[in-house]
Amino acid sequence: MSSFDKKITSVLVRTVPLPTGAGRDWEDVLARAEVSTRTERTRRLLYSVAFAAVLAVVLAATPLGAVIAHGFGDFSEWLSGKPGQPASVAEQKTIERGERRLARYSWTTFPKGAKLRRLITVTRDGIEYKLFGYRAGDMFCLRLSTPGALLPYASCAPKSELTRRMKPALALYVDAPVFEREKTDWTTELMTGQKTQLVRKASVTFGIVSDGVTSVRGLTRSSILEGIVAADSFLIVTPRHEKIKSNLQRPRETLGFKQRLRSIVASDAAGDKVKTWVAGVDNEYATGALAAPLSGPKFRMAKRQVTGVKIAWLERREPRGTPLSPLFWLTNGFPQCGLECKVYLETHDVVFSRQLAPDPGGVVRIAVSLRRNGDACFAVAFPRRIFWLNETCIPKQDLSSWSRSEASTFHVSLGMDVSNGNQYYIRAGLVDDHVRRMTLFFSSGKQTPVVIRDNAYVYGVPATDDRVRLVAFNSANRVVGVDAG
Amino acid sequence: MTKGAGLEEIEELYRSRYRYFVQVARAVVGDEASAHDAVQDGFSQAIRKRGSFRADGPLEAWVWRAILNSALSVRRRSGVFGPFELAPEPATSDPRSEDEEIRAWIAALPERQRLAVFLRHYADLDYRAIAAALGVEVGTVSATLNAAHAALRHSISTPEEVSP
Repeated sequence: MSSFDKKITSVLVRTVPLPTGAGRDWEDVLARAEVSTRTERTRRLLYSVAFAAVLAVVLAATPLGAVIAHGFGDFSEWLSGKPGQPASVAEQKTIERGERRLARYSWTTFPKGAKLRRLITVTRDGIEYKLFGYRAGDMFCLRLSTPGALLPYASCAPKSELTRRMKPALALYVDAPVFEREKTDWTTELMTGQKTQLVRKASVTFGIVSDGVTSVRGLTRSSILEGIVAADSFLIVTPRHEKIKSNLQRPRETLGFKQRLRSIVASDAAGDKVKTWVAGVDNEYATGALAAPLSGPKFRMAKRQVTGVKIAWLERREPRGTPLSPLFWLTNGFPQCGLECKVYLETHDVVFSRQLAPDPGGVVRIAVSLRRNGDACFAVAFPRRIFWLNETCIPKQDLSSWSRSEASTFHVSLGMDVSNGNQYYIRAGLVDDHVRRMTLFFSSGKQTPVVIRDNAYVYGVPATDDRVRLVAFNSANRVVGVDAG
Repeated sequence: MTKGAGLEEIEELYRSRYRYFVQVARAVVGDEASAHDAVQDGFSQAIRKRGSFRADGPLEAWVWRAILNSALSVRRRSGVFGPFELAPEPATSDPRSEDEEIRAWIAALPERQRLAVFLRHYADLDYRAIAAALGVEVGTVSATLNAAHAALRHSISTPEEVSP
């Protein structure tokens, strides 16, 4: 372990020390296991009854798809790229300038040349919220600007989602926290030495709606929140928060469980309503790990699966995409990166590097580099960011011998999980030369093609439907690889 | 193909590694009582599901997965931020200390990356075990931790990192 690793470990341990071991109680574990088994049986019975009831209602109703598409309109205002009003020059510049300060925290950078649209401006409890929209390649993005946000709140949905979506509302960010600085009481000041503290005043949910939507409401466990709808977008502010004891044993305003948004209901002019569930904060593991296995179509694999990743143009050092050099970083917002990047490139013996854009107008770039020892490395990059993210390397012997490598099968995935509240996970990567096309299969039965350009790909997965399979086909249309995404 | 895990093996793990499970759970949920609760629940889940353990990775990683699920679930219910949920605010206008920088960096990480850091530095798991616990590729864990460390190196700008 390096000294740097030790430094991180020591900070972590100072923050949360190793407990003494008191409280260990195996009998309690066994008792809970028994109780949960009983509870599970009861729950399954209830689910069966509820499922039967729902099935009966659905069978009695008109098929939803066409009715929804007709009654609520589609997303053509967004797809044509003209929702809202053009942002002012000052607003556009403010966002662009803010990128430099905020880029280290945000995966969704504002792409160069993208035109900002002003969608909603509203003030609630003295806090101003400005919602902007823009298009980044095949992504449709929203960005919230408010003085109470610690981090930038931006999120994008892929075009395929808007063209295929059968529901009229699409949340892009859920329960984004909004803070205000307040004077601390004297006890807190005495304990912490801080005269002011950040207090969570509200949370915001925003997204896109189809052309015919006239109102949106947010539902929590304890309340119904009236949203603001304008320019084919919506914004819901959850203003009240419970006061609870934090782990520091001092009161802190936070978003209570009952106040988290669970669903949104969109209505049209005729009063028809459609509810959409949203993936609340911290949902990532709700559907993963020990949850039920992925359902969906079965795939028969080709006789010879592709193992290893072979990219001929990279081996030939063919100049695909655009150059990736220290100059790139210098001209993209971080002048201080000059020396650092030069050191990086030299110390890593980079002999060839390119930047690929699987979606040319989009926010994701993939950096590819060959090292002097023949290793090939891949990383996700952003046009205005300093770092390569999730860099991974494949040793030369794995590339040439096509032996099975733990890090690669038919593709190298550079998946990015995004912050809590964001409704999409973005995944990018590179595929082997044998892969001609890829399709993303959702457990709901939906499927969407994944565009491949220069062996690079990028796609977004809704957090509410993230149990996907990425299936790769060769030129003979045979499946050569399946990945759980 | 499933092999299943023995109750004795799970119990052995509980007795030998309990403190580390609680430590990581506490980093997620905030306080020790909730962390203990999450660990107890996680182990009870593991016992219930032990028949589905496929033995294609270490049992400990599989149990870690249950513990993390449980801890995240406890946090969802409580609505309480863990100690690494929000970046610490500097007490004055002075620059942050190195400790604060590191905590701020951890707070800014996406959840899965943050959990990878916890498993690496608290539980001392290797990449393979972390990958199994988080349900990702080994390469992704390595890449995630490398990228996260690179970001931190930059944020605290240690002298050896900026000199040529």
